[in-house]
Amino acid sequence: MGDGRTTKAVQRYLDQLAHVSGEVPAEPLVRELMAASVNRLHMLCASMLLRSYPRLTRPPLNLQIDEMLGAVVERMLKALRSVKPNTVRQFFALANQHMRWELNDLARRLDNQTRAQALRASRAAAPADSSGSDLTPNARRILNAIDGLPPDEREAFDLVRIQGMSQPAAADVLGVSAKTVQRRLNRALLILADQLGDLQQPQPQPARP
Amino acid sequence: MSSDSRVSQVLEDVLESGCSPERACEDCPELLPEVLRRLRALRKVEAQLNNLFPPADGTDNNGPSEFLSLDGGLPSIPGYVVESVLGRGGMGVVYKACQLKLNRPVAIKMLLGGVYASPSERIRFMHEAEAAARLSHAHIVQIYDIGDLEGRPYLMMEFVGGGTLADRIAGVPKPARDAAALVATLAETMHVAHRHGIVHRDLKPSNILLTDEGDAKISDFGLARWFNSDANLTLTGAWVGTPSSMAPEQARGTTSAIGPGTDVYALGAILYEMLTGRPPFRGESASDTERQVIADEPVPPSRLNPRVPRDLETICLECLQKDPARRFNSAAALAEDLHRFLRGEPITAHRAGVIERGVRWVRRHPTLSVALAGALLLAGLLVSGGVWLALQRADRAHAVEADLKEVAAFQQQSRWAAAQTALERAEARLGMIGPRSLRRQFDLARRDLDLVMRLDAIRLRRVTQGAPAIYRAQANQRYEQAVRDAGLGTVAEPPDRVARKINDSAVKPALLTALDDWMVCAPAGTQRGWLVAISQKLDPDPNGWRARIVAPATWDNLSALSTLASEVPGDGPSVSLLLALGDRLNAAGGDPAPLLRRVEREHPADFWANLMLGDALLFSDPVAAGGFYRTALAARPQAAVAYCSVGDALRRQNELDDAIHYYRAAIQQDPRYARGYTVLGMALSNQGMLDEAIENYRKAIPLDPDYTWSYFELGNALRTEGLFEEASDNFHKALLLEPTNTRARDGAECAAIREGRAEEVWARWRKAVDAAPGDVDNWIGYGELSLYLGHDDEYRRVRHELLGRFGSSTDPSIAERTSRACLLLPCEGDELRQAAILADRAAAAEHSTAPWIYQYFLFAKGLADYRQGRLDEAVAIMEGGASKVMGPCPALIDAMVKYQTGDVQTALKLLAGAAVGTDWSARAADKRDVWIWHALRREAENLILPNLNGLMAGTEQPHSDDERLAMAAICQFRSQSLRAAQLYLDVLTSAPEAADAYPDLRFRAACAAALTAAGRGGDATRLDTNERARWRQHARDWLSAEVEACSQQLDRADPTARTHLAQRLLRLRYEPGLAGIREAEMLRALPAREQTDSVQIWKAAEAALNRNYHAK
Repeated sequence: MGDGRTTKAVQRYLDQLAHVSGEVPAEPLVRELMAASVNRLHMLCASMLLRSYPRLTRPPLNLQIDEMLGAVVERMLKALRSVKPNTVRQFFALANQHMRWELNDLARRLDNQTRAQALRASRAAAPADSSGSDLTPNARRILNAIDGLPPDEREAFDLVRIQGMSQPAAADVLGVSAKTVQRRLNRALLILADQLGDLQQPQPQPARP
Repeated sequence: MSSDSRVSQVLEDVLESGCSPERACEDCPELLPEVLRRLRALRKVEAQLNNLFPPADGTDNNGPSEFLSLDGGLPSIPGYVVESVLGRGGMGVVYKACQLKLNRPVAIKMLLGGVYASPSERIRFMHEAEAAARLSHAHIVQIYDIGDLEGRPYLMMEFVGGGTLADRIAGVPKPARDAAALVATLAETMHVAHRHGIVHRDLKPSNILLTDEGDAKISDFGLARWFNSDANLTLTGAWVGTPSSMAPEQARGTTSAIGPGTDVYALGAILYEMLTGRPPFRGESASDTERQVIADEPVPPSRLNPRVPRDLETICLECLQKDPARRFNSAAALAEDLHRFLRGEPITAHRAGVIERGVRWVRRHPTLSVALAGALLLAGLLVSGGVWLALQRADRAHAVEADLKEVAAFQQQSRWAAAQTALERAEARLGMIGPRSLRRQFDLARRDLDLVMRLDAIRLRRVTQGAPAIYRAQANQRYEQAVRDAGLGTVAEPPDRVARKINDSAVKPALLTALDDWMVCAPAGTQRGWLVAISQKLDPDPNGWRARIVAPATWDNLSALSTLASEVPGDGPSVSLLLALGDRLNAAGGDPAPLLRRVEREHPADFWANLMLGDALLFSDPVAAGGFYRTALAARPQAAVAYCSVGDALRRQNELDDAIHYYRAAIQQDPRYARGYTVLGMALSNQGMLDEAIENYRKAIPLDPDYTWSYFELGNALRTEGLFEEASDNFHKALLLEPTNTRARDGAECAAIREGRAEEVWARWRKAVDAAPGDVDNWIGYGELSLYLGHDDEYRRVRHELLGRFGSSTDPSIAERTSRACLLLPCEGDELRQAAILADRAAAAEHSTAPWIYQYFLFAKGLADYRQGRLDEAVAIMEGGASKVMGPCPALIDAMVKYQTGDVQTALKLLAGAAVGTDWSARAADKRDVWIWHALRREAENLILPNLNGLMAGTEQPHSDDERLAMAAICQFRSQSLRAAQLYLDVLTSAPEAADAYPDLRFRAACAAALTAAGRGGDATRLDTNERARWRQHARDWLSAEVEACSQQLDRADPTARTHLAQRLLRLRYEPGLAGIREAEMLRALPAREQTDSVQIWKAAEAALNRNYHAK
């Protein structure tokens, strides 16, 4: 992701998709279209799990991101089958919305898991790098705050931060200048900072020997 | 405009333009405090956002944080070559550079623009930097120069390459003596600085740099407030540092109280962090930490790490006193006390006494304590005068006794580390002149614990994953020696007597554990019987599990051991006995994982249970294995083997950077741990750093000459580097140590094949198969070699044998390899059915197989689909799940399918792609997989080019470039360099754009041309000088185009593509075919102009690689 080619590639798929009639043959096209977004979502989920909830990835829970994401692709596919986006921008708007939902859902499940695990008697020896507390409900608050951003700011934020596009690529999708994208991102950051000023400090990165 | 919206406007300006908040507020100074407050809040939120949504491309100049970093690119400073960015932070950027005049490496710390608000501030910065620069000391990072680049101040400093103390600690406690020695050095150094009137103010582990030799050097002297980005946000003069490392007087903001005592406090905090792995105070937030620093007492280090000696704890806590006057009165005094501790002398720092502790308690519980005050006062009056001294002496003897009782108690509970600590404490108290009775008790305890450590070390050394038989025999000898030295007995003594002695020992549990492990290592017969007899006397084991394990009918019998493992309860016999059973099961070829899982569930914190379970799962489920390894590591943070194991789990998951980190930690724990170097080498070689890998293998070999894999991996690496003779040597050494190691055998045999002795190897292999007909891999390898050498009938015989012997195997990995080997030629009838069933069996094992292995299973399945005419299914697999394995094979099968479905053009394209993308020379066919490649190539060529014979005989002419490329592959295999080079030349002349379609084309062409020019290859021996020069010219042209293309793409590519391009450049360095225009001794024979031309190409390639390396 990240250059003008992305936009062109997506537009090509969308055009093809528009020429496909019926439900079934569209499937592979949609799948390809989704691949980049799903990869990025996978990466975001993995980094959330590993950075904020490292303990859950170890015994006894051994949570794996692939397991947790099993249903995601299917759900996004279903959503994009029922609503056919006409433009690249519409496509990303849909994808972004679903990604935020999925992240939120994952964060909720992780919080529940953490709580459940905390209830259980802790294991005799905590691995060396589990210092720092596990409970970080911050992720969900951040996602909620993003949901509440004004549309322009949210769209810019979604494309750059959630889809991982470069600012010029996002500008391409939105049909505005890169400067405008940067300005919207800054404004989004200011709004988020106002709303999230009381967040806990980020936990230290998992330590290594 | 309301002030709030004005603040927002200013903030937006700051974010957009990247200017300093001070400059943005020039016209509205009243807004500055609010702007700064919100900027700070914004940065905190931004850090969280970055955590949740990391930038996609790994660069940090993406998005809103741009205003914090300098605009990209390296700065240019006259007299220096800035090479790379060492780090970035709130204060600016640190670069690595080379000072041209002195040709020495330096670090340049460049501060953000706008770091000082006014010209007077700038002068102050320069003054303070100059003062720091005057300090010259072995343990202080020397400042060479200070300056200013376009308004940004910078410091030019000594380059220190070994990372920071913070990296070194990273949450793991360090040995007490190491910590004391290091802090003593730091304290001595600080004393020198204090004498010069310089206070550091921000000593913390991340400011302590380490040299490659491990020496500490203090950096950022007296300049902390300039580097801390928050410093200019407060603008109050009293800077806010890293809260967890600052002294109470700093947290309170009493600038006047800041002095040498502040640094003493910080040294105490460093000592604390080294002893416990965490700083003395760590709150939920910065302000919470500040509150703790001011108000709370630190948790005594020994409560976080029981191994911390009491005296060292006392020294540490004295540094951390809230009142500077109660700390050591100088850094020198601290250093002296630390040296006293290291020499075992009494220290001067004193523990908080009863009264002092009482005072602190009162401070924490003000109301409750009023009622108790009267009682305390009374107690205080009683303890006075001479009584005090006498009491103190008696106290000490009493305390030693208590310590020794503690040792005994810990020994009973098998808590050896805690016992060791208690013993050290007793030793420190006892001094040189304790009462004789106590001294004797102490010596006994010492001897017992030494024995425990010795036995444990024997066991640790045994689990090194080398040839098990060698390590068992070694351990057996060592156990025997240790037990004899301890006076417990020898095999000649009756078991009864030895058992009695062990029974009386204070460390009986550890001895029993060792006996069980020894039992696994001891040879059958008298000795094992003797051990079992002793164990039976001591550990009644009423259900007789031990007797069942050692029964000759069970010992080596897989099914009997499996039955036993399924029957034994996880909480029944002792852990050591259960693990011995797991060991046997593993040795007999069974899967010990289910048994070990049950053991681990019952003993979740047991080091050995976790370690062995991790080993059992490493290949099938590296993630879970990593979890168990980490638990083992937590149980024994000093065990090098545990670090290595965590690294192995990470390496399996392809997390190479992290794996390397753990391997280095293992070596740091135990610099004599051979396996540490070998696995580190393997990870490095996976990253393409072959030279470093080889260096590490070579280090490992003398440390443990019995470790097979060091030789094997060294052999592999040398082979890649083209040093075939030495590689072959090492394979043979590995084989000599472990004759049953099939991979070492393959390595040695393949080396022989490279030397052109393939038929000889084939005959030898046949004998090996006859000698061990139960070894499936032997059969498969022999079959594949037969096919490669064109002995198709022999291959068919092997296929028949394979299906007859292993056709019903339920092991998915045997099923996969067998079916694949059987389907390398078309196949029909029962044989086809049977092979297809095997492939299905492998493919069904998806959930129990690691994804990277499963791709191979898929390949077998796809091959079976193809042979059964299920072409669509075959294509789906070959273009999908299996496309990344088995080199050109998926493409070759795909090509054959395309041809059969009538798409001849695509078939030809795919065939040409496979032809160009692979080294088909017979010399490269020294790996078993490659024989399979050749078999499928042969089949594909004959199918897709029906007129192949005519083409190769020259009676027919090729119609397309794709046909030419396919022919070139055959020429390569037949060692017809000239003809191959001519074919490549035709293609590249008529269609230069082919080089874009086939990224390896120019490389192959250059190799063929260089070989031709060197007279290598059957058809190139009779060329005259001119013709040779012409081919060298072609080779150079193609190579330089290749280098240029890679180099250009490198600058634009994403990380994955970069790795790929770097590999393309790297192979030029090693490819033997290019030796004629690369190696110095070959070049010398050429005309001068040709020499320069060649050298230029290699320089360009190395420069591109260098650039790429630094970009990382």
